[in-house]
Amino acid sequence: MQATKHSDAETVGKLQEIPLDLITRNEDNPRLTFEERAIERLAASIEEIGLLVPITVYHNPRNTKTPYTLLDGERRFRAAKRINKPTIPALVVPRPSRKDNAVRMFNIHMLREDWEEIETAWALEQIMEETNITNERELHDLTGLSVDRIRNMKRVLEFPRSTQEKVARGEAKYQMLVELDKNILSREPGKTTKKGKKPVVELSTSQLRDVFLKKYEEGVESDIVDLRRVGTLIDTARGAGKIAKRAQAALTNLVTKPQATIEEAYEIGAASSVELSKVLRDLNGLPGRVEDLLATITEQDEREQVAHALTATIKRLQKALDRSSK
Amino acid sequence: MIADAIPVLQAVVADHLQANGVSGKVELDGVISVATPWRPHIFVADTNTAWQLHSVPPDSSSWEKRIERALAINPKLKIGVAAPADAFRDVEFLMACYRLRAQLLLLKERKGGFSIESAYGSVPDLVCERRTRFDIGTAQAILDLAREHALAAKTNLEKGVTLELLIALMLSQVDNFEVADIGIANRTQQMDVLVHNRSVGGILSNSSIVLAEAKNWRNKKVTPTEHALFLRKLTSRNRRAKLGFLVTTGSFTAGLALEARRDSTNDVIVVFIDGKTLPKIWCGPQTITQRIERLVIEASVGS
Repeated sequence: MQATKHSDAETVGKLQEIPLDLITRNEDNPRLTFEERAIERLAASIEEIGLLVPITVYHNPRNTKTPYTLLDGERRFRAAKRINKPTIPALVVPRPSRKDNAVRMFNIHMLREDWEEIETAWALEQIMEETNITNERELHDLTGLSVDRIRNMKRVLEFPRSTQEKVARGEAKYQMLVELDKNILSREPGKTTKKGKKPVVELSTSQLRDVFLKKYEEGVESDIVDLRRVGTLIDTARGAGKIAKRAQAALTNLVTKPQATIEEAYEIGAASSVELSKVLRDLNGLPGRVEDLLATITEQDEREQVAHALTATIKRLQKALDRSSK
Repeated sequence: MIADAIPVLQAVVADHLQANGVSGKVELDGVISVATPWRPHIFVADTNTAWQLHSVPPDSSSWEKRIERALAINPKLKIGVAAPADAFRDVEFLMACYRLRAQLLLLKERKGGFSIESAYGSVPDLVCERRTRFDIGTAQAILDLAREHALAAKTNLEKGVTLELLIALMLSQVDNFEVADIGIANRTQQMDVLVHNRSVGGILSNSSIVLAEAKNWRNKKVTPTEHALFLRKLTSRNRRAKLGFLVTTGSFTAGLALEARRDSTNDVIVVFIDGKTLPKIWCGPQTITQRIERLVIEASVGS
């Protein structure tokens, strides 16, 4: 292979040895994590057996200093640079459109296992910007990502970039942002609902977001799943009567006091009403289940077993009622 | 963890070098020469210094071998290694830096970036200043390496510096010894290693300051003249330096140690360590402290 001369007609579609200093990285490359040890291992491997897979570049003659832009192989490019290889084998392809470039970069990187979810989300954002496609089904067709995953990514992309970058740096959890949006922010507890139900907290959505991010950042909260309890608390507060008022007070306390925990708020504001609805559901369902059972069993001793259990249950329940009415 | 740490590190180290008056252009990913099989993260052509940066301790030695190949082509190349302070706790990594005779930059990771925690001219400087204590196996390995450097030194300056560093490293591993200075000089005297001695009780405790003078002379004997000069340095330290080590990679003139002991009129003890005795201090079944104590006893009362 000859060191390259760069006119479009000569270069495109060929495998060539291109001087490393003529190549620039692709600004559309959404991969932001370059694991240093992996690049070092790759550099050692290139030193030992050479570079077996060429990188892919496109020719951009308008950029006179670095007329080749990387499409695929940034890690190989970095490793080759470290061992001071003068040239690198590269497949020169036609310059893609911005849309094609974004989708191509996305698909190339999705083949790699070690892509962080936040990086995939950023790549998806880029595709949405380049293609103006925001429909989850169409995005699924374009990228192969599941609709659920796309939905979660869109939730995370709603957060400020600084918060997203914390995820990339490992200072916040991706799934925490998903749960925060799903259970709290998307319920918009600070706004009147479409059905005319009044706000249950006096904070904007962005204020609520910051309150909960801070609780996790400062270690007041650690379990992401607890955010689901806040969702229940909001739903209870949107209801009516004393239960709703109690839930609303617990919610207000939770979002205004930095040290207040979800567990406490849930115990005070929603646990009893959640238990009540569970018990009511069980009680309402029990007669039907017993009727169905009695209709199917024919053995006398089995029918007697059921009758005995029912009589005992009725007695226990009557006693509980008597105690509570005293 | 910073997702793409090397560009961040390059900027931090380059800023540090420029702020500390490094002359010449500080070039990121600079080329040493076309034939050199390593392109350092930072290269300063004017000082011929090439920097290897690590944001995490490396998990292989390929980087070191690459730099060794670069040094074989460019023997005068000076190496710098920058890494988070914790990385230098890894003995393998520390030894690699010492083998490369690298100057060191210790980094502190903070949210989203790095800052410079401290800078050292060499691994022994780091060991002495941070009061790093090694287990006996590691101490032996690092002192063997230090001795190799001292014996392989070619210029007079290199011979002096490498032996000073060896002696400082060795004394840094003695219990309650804190190496305070290496290669110090004032208007009238030059002293190779100065140790603050925190020992309480025992044979080593009578001198709050310990001095060492090292002669990397393999073809020349250390004579009574050098001994007399060294004694003068010891006694001029406000009488606090009552223990000194006179070290040579070669030998002393016959009977020097015996005469010195016989002629001694004050309570100053000079321990004579020749090229044969030196490696035995760290290569025996005893600890370095025990061997040093033994040598001090022999110097006071005779073996």
